[in-house]
Amino acid sequence: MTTQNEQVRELLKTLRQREVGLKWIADEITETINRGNPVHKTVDGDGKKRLKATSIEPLTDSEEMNVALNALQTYLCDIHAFWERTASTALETISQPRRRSPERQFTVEVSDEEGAAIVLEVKHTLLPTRLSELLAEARADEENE
Amino acid sequence: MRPELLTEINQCLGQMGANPMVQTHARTDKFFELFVWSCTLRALRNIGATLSPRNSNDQATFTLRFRLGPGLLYNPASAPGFVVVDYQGSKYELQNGLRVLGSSKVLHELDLCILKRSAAKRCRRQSIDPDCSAVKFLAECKYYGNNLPLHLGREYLGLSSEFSLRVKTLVANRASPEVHKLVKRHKGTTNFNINPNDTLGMDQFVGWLATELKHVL
Repeated sequence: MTTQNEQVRELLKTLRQREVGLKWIADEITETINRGNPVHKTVDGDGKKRLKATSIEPLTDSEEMNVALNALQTYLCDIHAFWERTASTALETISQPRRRSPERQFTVEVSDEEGAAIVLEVKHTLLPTRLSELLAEARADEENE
Repeated sequence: MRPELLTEINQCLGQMGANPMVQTHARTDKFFELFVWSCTLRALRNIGATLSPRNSNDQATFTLRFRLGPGLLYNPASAPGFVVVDYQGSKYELQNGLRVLGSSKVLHELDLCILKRSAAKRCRRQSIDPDCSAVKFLAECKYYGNNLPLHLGREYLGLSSEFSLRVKTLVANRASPEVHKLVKRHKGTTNFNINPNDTLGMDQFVGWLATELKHVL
């Protein structure tokens, strides 16, 4: 049985694989874990005075796993809900120009660095749903441990 | 976590990198910026503004195209599409990812801003960058997987000091008590935990935007 800590490392290793191409998410998870948790406390000062202070404590294995699962959910699954809402709000709120041909539809697009529109293939809209289900199961497993 | 579940997650991740929306942090940030842009559209509609789409050449369009990189207002090759806001007889432009001069005369990329339409038109005519006097509203947008790191608060304060406006805010899908404390201490505003699944939070954010924009437009 692998530990939570080893499982987080395995997820990071997958994200960092060249063919997966999601190293940036692994880097951010690592950075968040390394940042630790700021903890506020009251300590003895000079004389009778009590002082407010902070210190940084390392994350527990379970917290590290949560950081990884949250990042995967946010970047790979939730982002689609943000975009869907953006596109539907634009259609509802913006007055469309007068149409010469009735089939012309108003759309919102994002283009990449080369000016080509970022187009989502069907498989890219289905995978996030599957991943989201798996991450929910993983969270349930974590709560039961 | 069960080992077989971890294997399945790893397999799923193996196929996800090809999704063009998630290849870099800048891309997910862009989609979040546009979500905040759409909240601003709702706020503007709620106060009775009329919104018309324009392309990078300032012509009416059926396709509002945004760009991943920052744009120059007067250069159609880099300028993004935008929305003309007509509110109580005055006109403005709601822009995304545009370079604007701060009070130090250094160019900054503003994730989201509202410019005076007359100033923007003049800038296009004269091929110059808009400056901070043309800006009526700005929002810096951050999309993160976990709590926001403190350096984002410091960066926002730096940007904010370049634009002396009533309505400017740091918007994020996540929160950070530390960033909030830092920004609040310097009389700034944060709007955290903004996401489409939290209808109440979104309505509150749109309501806040509407109230503030009413005061400055």
